[in-house]
Amino acid sequence: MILSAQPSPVTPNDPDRELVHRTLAGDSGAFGELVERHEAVAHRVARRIVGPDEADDVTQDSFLRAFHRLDRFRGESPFRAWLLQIVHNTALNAVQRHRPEPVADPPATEEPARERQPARELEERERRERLELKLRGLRTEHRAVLVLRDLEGLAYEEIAEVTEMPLGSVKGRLHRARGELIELLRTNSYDWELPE
Amino acid sequence: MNGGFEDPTAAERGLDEHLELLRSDQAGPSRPLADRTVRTARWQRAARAPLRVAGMIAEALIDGLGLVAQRRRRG
Repeated sequence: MILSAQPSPVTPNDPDRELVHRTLAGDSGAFGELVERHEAVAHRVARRIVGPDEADDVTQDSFLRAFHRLDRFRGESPFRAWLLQIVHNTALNAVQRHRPEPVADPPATEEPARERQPARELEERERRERLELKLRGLRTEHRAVLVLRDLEGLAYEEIAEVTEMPLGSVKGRLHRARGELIELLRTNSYDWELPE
Repeated sequence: MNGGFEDPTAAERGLDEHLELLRSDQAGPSRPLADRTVRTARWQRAARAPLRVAGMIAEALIDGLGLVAQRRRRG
């Protein structure tokens, strides 16, 4: 079933339904609104899978793929889940093309610009960067489900759609991902206290 | 719990607290994507039809040349 050939196949309660129809009718402004509506979540997911350097490119590439494939969007799930599936796949492909990033904690040197930041803010920022680095040390498929569930708060059903996995596999993979991250934080880390 | 842990272990509870650091970071793209994405989408769509036609012509030419070469070998 192709969207443009059927009257209303998009999920009835999908808030993007109208914009999807207008985009398919040739209204590129509607596509721009879809990008504005979802660029933040798409970028966060991309950044946490591929890292900050490639996140902009992966996000834009995902939206362009979505645009050119929109006539294949069946509307059986919300547009956001379909888009995140494209972001997820594009990000995994980008990771496969590149060598894995180092997962060691960064050296404790401060950049000049950061010296002006209040100490607490600086400390929190550095802690966040170290945690992001640890997160990128996870196996890619573990990282993806952990980002979607524990950081973006997607429902298991939505993650199953995004990753194209059965629900049970999503839960199992998430459990293993959390276990792997806990082990990573316990290894070579001095400030991630986690009880046994 | 924010991260939606179900029956968490003590370590998972600790992990969830650490992850709050990342959840609180809602930074988006370095610059808004909408305008340039729409512009790129437009020219890509406009270029698609001519490229497809050019591809079909090239394919037909290659097929034709192949047939000619085949006939010459037989003849």
